[in-house]
Amino acid sequence: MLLVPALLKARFGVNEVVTTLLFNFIFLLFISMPLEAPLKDPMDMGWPKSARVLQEARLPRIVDGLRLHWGFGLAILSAVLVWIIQTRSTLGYEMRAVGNNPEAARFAGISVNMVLIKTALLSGGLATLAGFSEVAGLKGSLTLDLFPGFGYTSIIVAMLALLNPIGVIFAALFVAGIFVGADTMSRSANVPTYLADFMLATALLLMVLTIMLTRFRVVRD
Amino acid sequence: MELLDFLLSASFWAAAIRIASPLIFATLGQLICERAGVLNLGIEGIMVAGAFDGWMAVYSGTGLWMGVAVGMLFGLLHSTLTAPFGLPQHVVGLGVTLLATSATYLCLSARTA
Repeated sequence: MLLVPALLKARFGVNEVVTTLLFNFIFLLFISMPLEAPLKDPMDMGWPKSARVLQEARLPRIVDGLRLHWGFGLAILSAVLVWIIQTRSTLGYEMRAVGNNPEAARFAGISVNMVLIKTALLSGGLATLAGFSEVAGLKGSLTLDLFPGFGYTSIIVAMLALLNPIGVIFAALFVAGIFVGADTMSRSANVPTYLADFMLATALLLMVLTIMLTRFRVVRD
Repeated sequence: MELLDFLLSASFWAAAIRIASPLIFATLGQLICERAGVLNLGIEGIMVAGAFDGWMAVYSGTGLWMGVAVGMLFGLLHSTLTAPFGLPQHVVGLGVTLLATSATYLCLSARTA
């Protein structure tokens, strides 16, 4: 699905920020269309919610009694895989080259468009894994409100992890901790949960600022 | 014929104009930014913050322009981070959106609690 913005970017140079942002709405509505009629669970009081996934197809839980499921293992596995791709493969080298300087990469003989398309395929696949693990592991059925803004949160996580796939695991645990902590605080101490979003937004802005500032070096003469 | 009646009715056009007015403001703001080569993804949050501050200003007896001033402050934040510091525009934009919306909701829930 991410192929469309990638092809548009590769072929016509369409700004991928704008297209992917708008494709959010298109895909959400596209999923909502079957969810309203043929996929809708007939036993479920008319909520736009699909029938439950078969028990055999669901991801098993790691510990009985907790809702933690093997999607977490899958996530760590994918993080390691992405790390291997990024640091140990030709594609990873090309990805970093294109990311740092597309012009220079093109002069070095790298097909920028192919790298864009491959990266988009990888990224779309990973996003699908997120959806799969959430449906097959946690919720057991498909709804439209599976991800309350996780896509944007993942940008924050990526920035906090300094774009390192292994760091993503720890950054994601940190961000998840803030969310869970804010939920607990709002239950016990009546603190609004928006505090978590506020902290994360501040963290994101300060993080990008810090990354930029660390590039400066103190020069003495 | 029914469709034509609907299109010719005054309420249809009143609703269209009503819904278009915030779009005009938002588009004008985005247009200025895009002309200068800056993608302003922070606009969503700044709009929420401006709405809250406009309400807040009128509620506490000052002028409506306070909302505009707060929007300008967020614009200042966005532009300082993108232009002199040269940070990636879409990351900063998303950050500003998240910051402005969450700060607004935080203030609102503190206000109403």
